[in-house]
Amino acid sequence: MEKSQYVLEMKNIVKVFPGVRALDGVDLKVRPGSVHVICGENGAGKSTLMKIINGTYVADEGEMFFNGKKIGSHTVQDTLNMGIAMIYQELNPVLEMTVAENIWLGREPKRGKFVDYKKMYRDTQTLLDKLQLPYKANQKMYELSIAGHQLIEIAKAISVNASVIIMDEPSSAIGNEEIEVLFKQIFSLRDEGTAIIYITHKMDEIFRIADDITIIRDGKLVEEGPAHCYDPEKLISRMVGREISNIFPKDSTVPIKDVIFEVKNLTQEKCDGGRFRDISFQLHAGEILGFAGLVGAGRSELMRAIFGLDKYSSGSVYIEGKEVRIKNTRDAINKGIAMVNEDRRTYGLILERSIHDNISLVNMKKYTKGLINDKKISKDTEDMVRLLQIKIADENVEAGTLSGGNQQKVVLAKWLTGDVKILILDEPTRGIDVGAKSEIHKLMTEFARQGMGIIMISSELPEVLGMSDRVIVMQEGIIQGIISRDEAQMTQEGIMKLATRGVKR
Amino acid sequence: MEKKKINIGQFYGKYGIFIILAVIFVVSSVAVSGFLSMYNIMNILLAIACTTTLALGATFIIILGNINIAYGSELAFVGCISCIVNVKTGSLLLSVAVAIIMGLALGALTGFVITKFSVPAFIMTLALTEAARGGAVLVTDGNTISNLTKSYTFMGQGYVGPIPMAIIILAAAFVIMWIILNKTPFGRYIYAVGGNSKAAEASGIKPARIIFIAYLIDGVLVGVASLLLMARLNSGVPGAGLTYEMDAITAVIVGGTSMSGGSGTLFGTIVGAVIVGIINNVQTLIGVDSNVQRVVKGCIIVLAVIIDVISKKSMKKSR
Repeated sequence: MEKSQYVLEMKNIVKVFPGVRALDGVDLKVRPGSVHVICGENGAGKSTLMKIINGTYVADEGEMFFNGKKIGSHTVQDTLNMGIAMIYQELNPVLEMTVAENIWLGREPKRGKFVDYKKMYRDTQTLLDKLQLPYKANQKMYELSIAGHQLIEIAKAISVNASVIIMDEPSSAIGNEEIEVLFKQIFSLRDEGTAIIYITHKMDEIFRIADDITIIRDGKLVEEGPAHCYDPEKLISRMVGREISNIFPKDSTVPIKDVIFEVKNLTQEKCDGGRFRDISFQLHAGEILGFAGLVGAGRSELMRAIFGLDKYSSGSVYIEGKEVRIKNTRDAINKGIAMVNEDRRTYGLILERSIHDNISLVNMKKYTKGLINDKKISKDTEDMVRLLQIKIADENVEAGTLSGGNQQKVVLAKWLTGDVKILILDEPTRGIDVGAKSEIHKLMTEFARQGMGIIMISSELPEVLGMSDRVIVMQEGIIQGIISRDEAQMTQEGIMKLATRGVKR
Repeated sequence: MEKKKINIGQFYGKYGIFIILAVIFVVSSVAVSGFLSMYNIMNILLAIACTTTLALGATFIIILGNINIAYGSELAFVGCISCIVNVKTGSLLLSVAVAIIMGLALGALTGFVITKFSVPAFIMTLALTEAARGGAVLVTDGNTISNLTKSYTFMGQGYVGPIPMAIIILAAAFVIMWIILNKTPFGRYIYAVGGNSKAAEASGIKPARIIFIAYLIDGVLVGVASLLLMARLNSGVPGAGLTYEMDAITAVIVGGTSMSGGSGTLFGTIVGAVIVGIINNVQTLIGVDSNVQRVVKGCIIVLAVIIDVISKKSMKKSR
């Protein structure tokens, strides 16, 4: 058998999660000594593929070859031993431990039964010096920046002599100068023969570092090829074009009225989280304003701050022309803002309580005259169940037992018991079956018709295009552009171009 | 329609505790002579009156996912001050007011430190256990306060008809607490914050505020319980109330309130308290050594939590 020219080869990988086919016959061929960029929209299946490579997930179908040898089922530890290291998007270093302890965690050099600290610190320092990293082996991890943590992860990958290093959006949390340091390491690793699999959304990065590109869409392989065959236009056109049926576009006859809500120069400084800056936009009654962008663009964080869940540092917020200061969620609710969070199990519902209790939670005052009037709650619950077509046995069922679509409807019902002027929906149809999805879209049009202003964050471009009167595209905490329904740019390509443009810092 | 599933875990969660009580009661009545008499039943209730009053407050605190382990020392501190006031002024009203105000103050302090500085409730109330006990000895100079007024001791020793006054006070506290937990927005918010604090906040509830108020209410019950204890002891004893937090928390846990927060009922707590009371009473009647009784109590707590965890798991499975 001839020796494979690829260090890592994945063939026809299929992975099914309940309800979705996350990967549907994806191939990947990685050459040694190359930087291989994987492109695709949010949810295209990139991270799933990486987790199959490193053993976090087991593929339902398909084969994996490492240096030409077929690899059967494997654990994370197996892949690490083989020489495949993965640097996750969200790092979890043990901050209280030293750099050396973090690098050798779980595989500490031993002398007899005990850890050989002397060797550990000596080896670590040698490694750091070789990589020209400005850190000391005995420094505590919390003294390092996030980029520092990334670089230590790379050092760790090198310390296991990895021949393949997977990096999942390593640049998402670090600044420009730190990116340069990261790239320098990547290039020198590549030149020494290590293969780097690099996931990113940023066009400028892709074309600086990529040798090969693989494009995935909807869990399927779109195409692969050497980087010099692509330019940003071509790449974006291959990435977008996800097809999602069951979008129920907004009825364009719904009248769009006066400005109901406005935000001016809203900024969150670093001390408050630093996730967005200088955000200004207007929202009209009857309008659905889409917020598009890649994961991590700061859309959810912006909305959380507007809703009073997080702080913002400066800027102003106006409701119906009057300036308001929102200090907590109660302020926001009293002023007519409602927010349906992207993670409804964490922020939407009290899972072990009944539908009855969940629906009444926001506007408890309405149901209380001295004591709670549970009959009134039951009546409203009944109305909501009918209006939103929530499928439940009875109102005493625990919210946690419902399907995703029904849970989302209960969250909506909770808000509709009150007087909502501004409805913020963060990924309103994520993880919801197609039937419920279009029902929620229909409801959104209905709410707009009643005069609500709706803000919808969505990472599904067809949904953004179908539902939004205008789309605001965010990237790395700033607004990259605002597109109206009648503009030529209102296409998946137009939005993606803005979302991946690259931010000057 | 989503099907409603009933399984053993859910069934236990709803009715298990009542069945256990019934079984224990019937078995005790048949097997233990001297158990089934009005006198003995009243004795059991009287013995648990003070700790059950505490357990009502502890139910709120534990549904919130918090804890208070300082009850014993708080009782001594608050009770002794109230006794001093009683002896000095002879006024029942003043001594009751002082007990409740001091209880409130301790609750406010606890709630404030926990919510404002994010000190874990366990640590704060552990510290309070030490501090309040010291306070009790300081205010009394280590002496027992005797010569309480008749009206004062009536709260712990008196009878209205066949019913002990302490039971009436407990019953009144239970009714008020039940209404607060089940019929006021605050009560619903306790379940919401305990079940999912983040979702509660996203629904316009201020979790810290709910926790603070719960500790205030808990403090009021400490005040009431301290009156019951000192009145029953006939004097203000700075060393009184030792390990009472054990009995209060045991009642809550045996009563089915989850230590991880979010679920539990006051009926459960009362039943839990009675179960523990009966087990103690029976052991005394058949002459079990008191230290053996403590071992048994320890086992009951662990058993109750194991059952809670298992029933929760089987509930999750049914989802």
